[in-house]
Amino acid sequence: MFRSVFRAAPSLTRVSGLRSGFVKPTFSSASRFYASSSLSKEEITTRIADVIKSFDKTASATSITANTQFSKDLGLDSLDTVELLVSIEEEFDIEFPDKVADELKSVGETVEYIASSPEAN
Amino acid sequence: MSELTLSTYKSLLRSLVRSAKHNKIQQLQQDTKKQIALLTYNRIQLVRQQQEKGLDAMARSKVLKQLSAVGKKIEILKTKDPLKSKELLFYSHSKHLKDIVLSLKDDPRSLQHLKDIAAFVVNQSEYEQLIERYNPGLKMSQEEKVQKTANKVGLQVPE
Repeated sequence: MFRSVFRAAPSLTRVSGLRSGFVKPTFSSASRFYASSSLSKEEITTRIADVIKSFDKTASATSITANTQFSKDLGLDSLDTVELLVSIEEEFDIEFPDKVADELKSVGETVEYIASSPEAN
Repeated sequence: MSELTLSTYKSLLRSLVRSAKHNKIQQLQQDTKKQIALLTYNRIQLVRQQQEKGLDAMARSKVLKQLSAVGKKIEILKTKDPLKSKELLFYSHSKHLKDIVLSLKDDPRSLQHLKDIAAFVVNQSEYEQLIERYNPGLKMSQEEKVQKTANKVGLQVPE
């Protein structure tokens, strides 16, 4: 009754033995996707520009470049800047530490910081 | 502007934006669903008009144009992702909040109180999320509940 099972078993092991001899481990060549910050600077800039455009307190709708200053070019006071930074934090799912947030005065600096932080996405 | 004022405003805004996010997403999803339903109804009406007899060529082409426009709108709505909406990033009554914070800027006690409120909002929303996660039945529709109960005992609800 069990003969067929017993007979099948050694042939199975033989097959699997063969296979392990031939197949090379492929996982070593697979790329690692969790490397630090996959965002390019252009992408970050465009996303920040989108956020700024949908922020209704900005003074002018001029094109936003890395040199755009929050207070001078966008006409934001310090509280509005804080609000904008909170929105940018939410967009990239990160949190600026208070010390860093005080230093961020322009789009370029913000882009730099986001590009250097690994958790941003 | 003093440091405390800024950090208070920041933590308040952050907490409000974060805690509102979940509900906003759901609301946006419902809104798009409603719009899609309305447009689908419009489309059905147009198709009916089109099938009517005794329609001259002009009217027929007009109906066809409207049909394609409605179809395009539906497609756009279906591809729209509410998670990507920029609306989620802002707190809609920030002006009011700003006025409050500015009026209290010389009063560190009140500012501290506002900060505590922010912390409370964060913790409360976290608590709600946990309640929801540990009691998945709370937000299920009756239909869904019946379906899942049936699946649990190896049955299927007839369609």
